[in-house]
Amino acid sequence: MSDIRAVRGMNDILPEEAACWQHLEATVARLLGGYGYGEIRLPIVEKTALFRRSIGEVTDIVEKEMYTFDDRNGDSMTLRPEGTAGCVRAAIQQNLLGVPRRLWYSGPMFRYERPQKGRQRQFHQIGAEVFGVATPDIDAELMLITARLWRELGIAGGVQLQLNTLGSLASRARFRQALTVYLREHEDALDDDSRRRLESNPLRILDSKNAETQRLLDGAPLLSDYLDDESREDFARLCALLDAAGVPYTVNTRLVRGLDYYNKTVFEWVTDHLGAQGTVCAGGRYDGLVEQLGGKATPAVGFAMGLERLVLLLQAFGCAPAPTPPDVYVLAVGDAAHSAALVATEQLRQACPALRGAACGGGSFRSQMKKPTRAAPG
Amino acid sequence: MRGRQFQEPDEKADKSGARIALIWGEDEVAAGTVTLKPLRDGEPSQQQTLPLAELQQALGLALA
Repeated sequence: MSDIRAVRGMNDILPEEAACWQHLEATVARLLGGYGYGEIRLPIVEKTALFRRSIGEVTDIVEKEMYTFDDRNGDSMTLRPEGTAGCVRAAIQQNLLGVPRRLWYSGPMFRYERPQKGRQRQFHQIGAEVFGVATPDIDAELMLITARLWRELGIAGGVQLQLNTLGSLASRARFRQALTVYLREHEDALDDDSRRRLESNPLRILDSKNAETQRLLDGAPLLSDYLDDESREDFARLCALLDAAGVPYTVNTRLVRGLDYYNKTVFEWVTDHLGAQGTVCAGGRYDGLVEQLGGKATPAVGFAMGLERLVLLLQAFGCAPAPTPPDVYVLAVGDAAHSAALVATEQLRQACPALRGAACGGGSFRSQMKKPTRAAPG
Repeated sequence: MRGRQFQEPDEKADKSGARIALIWGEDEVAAGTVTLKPLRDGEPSQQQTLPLAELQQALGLALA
């Protein structure tokens, strides 16, 4: 067994830490339930074509990061790298569209990235998606839910909301053209990744971490100058709603998100408490995706939060709950005593269902007195 | 199982976080009793051996 170890970037979560995960997951589930979101449980494996068509062919995820394999029938399958595509697929397939629909999901996602603190190859997200509402009040609702969540978890002081609007598909196309013209004039100054994206996906160059490229972008056309009136009005209304609700935010005009399907609103909750890995929750509007995947045109907006990073943040803020210790610890010496203890404690559990009891195994009394350190709570 | 074996606080037992140990030894089995030993500082009651029928009540008081 010594040579069989967990796959790099895929981690065990031990009981001591699981208490924090349970607290986080239970808080999110209760909160989303309170806003009328219904849980949907989705498969981890989907057909590869779903992600190629939704996330975009020329994205880091689809180009470099997906766990893709042929199943025994020769069909290309992929471990989901994110949750929205599968949720949209299910909403279309299960006829959930046509009325406003609020859904949430939770579970592991898979991306072949370089593992580091807060970034794993198997990572966990909770996401929410709303179908059938085109107005920005629902965008605001998603931000209010997450703002409330941070308050309930005790980490509101560690996260900031950043917003942008990408405009309609038409206004994005006009901006894309202008950006491409500008960047082509300075092609020699671009980093390799950005030069490659110049043809395929120039908007993603705005995301570039390269300092030289970022300097070049200071003189580039601004997305905000190319917005259509409707996107501009919706964004102003969203900002007004957030102001009225007392949720602080920053407009970040270079926020474009790494996925192709977004339009209009995009947002991120970022933190500077976790080093370089700053985003704990991100989302946006994707009004074209349902139709793109074969459903009836339906406006949609959603977010996903990364649980690994939120657990780190809870720990950094001292808001991670300690595992609940048992109320009683049972020690028994000898076969007859083990039987008596088993029967008596079972009766006790019957009478007091909330009692948390841990029982030691067999062995001498001396060794039993040493075992409670390893007793699993509850 | 005599009380003297539990008079020294056992650090490792303490680390379980449990507030009370329930102990069954030969004497307890023979007598139909159980021994309650407080594991935490500040627990009000002392170690006591009592009939099984009184366990639930005693535990309720000790954990309250």
